[in-house]
Amino acid sequence: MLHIINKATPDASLEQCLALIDPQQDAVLLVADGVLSALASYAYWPRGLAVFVLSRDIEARAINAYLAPHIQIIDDAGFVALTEQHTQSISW
Amino acid sequence: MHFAFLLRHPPYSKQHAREGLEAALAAAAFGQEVSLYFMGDGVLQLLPDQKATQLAAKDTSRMLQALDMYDIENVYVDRTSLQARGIAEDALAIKCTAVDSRQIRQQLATAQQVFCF
Amino acid sequence: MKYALLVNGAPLDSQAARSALYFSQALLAREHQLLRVFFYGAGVQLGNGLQISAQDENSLLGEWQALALAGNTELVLCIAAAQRRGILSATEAQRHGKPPVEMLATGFTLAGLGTLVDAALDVDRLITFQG
Repeated sequence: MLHIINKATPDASLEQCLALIDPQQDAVLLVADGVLSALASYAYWPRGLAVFVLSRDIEARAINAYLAPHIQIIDDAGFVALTEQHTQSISW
Repeated sequence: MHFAFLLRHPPYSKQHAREGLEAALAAAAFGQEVSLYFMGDGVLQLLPDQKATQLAAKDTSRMLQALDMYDIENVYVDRTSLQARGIAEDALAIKCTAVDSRQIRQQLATAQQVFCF
Repeated sequence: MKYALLVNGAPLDSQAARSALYFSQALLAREHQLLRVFFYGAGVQLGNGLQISAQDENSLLGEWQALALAGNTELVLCIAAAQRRGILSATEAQRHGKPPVEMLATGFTLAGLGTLVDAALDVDRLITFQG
């Protein structure tokens, strides 16, 4: 399952998504304001969970330097690749 | 095909509750197997005695009464969301099965599409 | 693979239509098929042909119209959601006793939720962009 989140924390979407995640199999993609939940100071996303952010969304918001270290940055093609790999997705 | 709908918004102030239910009813009307999951503030859609007329709004709780007509039998509510709001499982307007996150996760794995409203 | 998108977010009040556009361009670049984009909820506002963007800003609507041509993609507004928000074709407007103004942008069609269900059945992936 690919979980796509577009909302800034705090938002019910993030809690609800975390409650349903299977950290072994699922991936999280943060897009739009969703990238704000990747800030290192929030320590929001547990280590070991595959969390991706869309590069254009973090560059537009100038937050590259503030991301938690285990967050992976991908481009639009990477976004498409995630949807190829995961047969299911939920956009929260 | 099995379509799952996660209904996460309270009724009335925005269109999410109504438009989520309309999409679910449409999927059922087109012969698909539909399951509904009320979670977060979406559980407030399930309260009885809503008076939508107070807001001159479309009464989404009446739409829930139509679920039977559309053969939507798989209606679930997130137990944690009910507990967090102090709502008892037997205080809801329609019959639904209370489930926890683990059960929801397992059931969603069998859905071809998961729609979130 | 065959894809369809569901866009629920309004064009100015959310990034949904912009994010979905870039995703769609990347889809086509990777040789996928994008059959249909279904705009629902506030997302239907993208199909308002009377919107004017400032001269120094890109036209999101124009970029979608170009993408639809490039990908042979159907752009569909949910007719009920569009009507509620005042986005009607001239014919629909007349049918409802309104002045026959064409609100619907070129390249967009109005259709029921059934076309979303159909798309979900037809494709390998349906990706939603929320508002």
